[in-house]
Amino acid sequence: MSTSAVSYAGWMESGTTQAREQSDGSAEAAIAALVETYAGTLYRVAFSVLRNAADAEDAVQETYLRVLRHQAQLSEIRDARVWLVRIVWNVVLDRKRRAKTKPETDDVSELERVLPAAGQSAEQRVASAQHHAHVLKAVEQLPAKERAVLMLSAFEELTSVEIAQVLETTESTVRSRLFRARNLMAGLLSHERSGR
Amino acid sequence: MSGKVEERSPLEATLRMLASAPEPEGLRERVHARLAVAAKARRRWWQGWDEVTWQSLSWPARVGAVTALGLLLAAGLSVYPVRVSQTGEAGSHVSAAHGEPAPIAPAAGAVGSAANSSGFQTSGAVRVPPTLTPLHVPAAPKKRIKRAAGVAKTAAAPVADASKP
Repeated sequence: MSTSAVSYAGWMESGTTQAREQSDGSAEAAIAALVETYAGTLYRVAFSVLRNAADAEDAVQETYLRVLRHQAQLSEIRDARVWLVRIVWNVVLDRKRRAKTKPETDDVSELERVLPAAGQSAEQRVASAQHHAHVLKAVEQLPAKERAVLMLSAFEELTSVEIAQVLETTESTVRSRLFRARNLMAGLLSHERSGR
Repeated sequence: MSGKVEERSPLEATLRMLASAPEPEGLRERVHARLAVAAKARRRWWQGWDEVTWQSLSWPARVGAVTALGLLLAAGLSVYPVRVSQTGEAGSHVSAAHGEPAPIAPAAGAVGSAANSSGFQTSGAVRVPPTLTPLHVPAAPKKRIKRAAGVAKTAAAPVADASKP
């Protein structure tokens, strides 16, 4: 916190003493606090969809830039975490749509990088990464709505109510989509296992 | 389930692995740095006129700018009353003053007699829609109801009844 506190202090100090500047300054301070608190969560949400570290970081930055652009609304936000996750989710989906490229499920090295290193040899890590890539390939075959719920359900920070808020739907819809997604995934994975 | 979504493996293991991916070092610093640039650009946009442009002008340039603005205002104010008097209403683009009266069609009788005399006299006639010169149709004469016969018919019946024993 200390180094980043210094770095964001710089971009707030340059304001003048005018009233508008003061309100801007307080909003910027609030955004700086949001960066400190939620940047990690937003990065993980972005990474789960894009599966690329650089793209995920870009998405996080774009999210905070959007927040800066709409800083006047900050005081109206009740749950900043859910609000930010919703923004990053939309940013990520926009990027995916624009790029029209599927996530790099075949890029095992990218998955290998995020695997926990504890107690695994290099070969085990590669095998584990390949397994995860295989599962993620099956996830990509799910319908978009079911896939979205399944991906967000993996985040411990998000309850099903919050997932519903992010996806702008109801909690019961989230539950039914999750149920459907898991059934579909079970079918897909068992089908591929029997096909081998 | 109580608010929290259920877990399952091995799908869950993969998804959890993605959801707990470590963030890159210096992520927050880079976000702050990018926000700093964006915030500065926003401020420059806000303050573009009053701080950067105006203060960078020398005194003669400032006097010139104020004079030009004053001249523009004076020109605008001098044109405004003329325009209002012409149009009758400020900001209106429709001329209120009427020019020449609308052409009127020749009388029906005159046209008819001219046509009878030479055959081509109506070629120059101007067709004017009746909306411009409304036709004055005389009121239709009221029909007279033959009341006498009707009264007689209704009056005859009681007399006939009275004659009966």
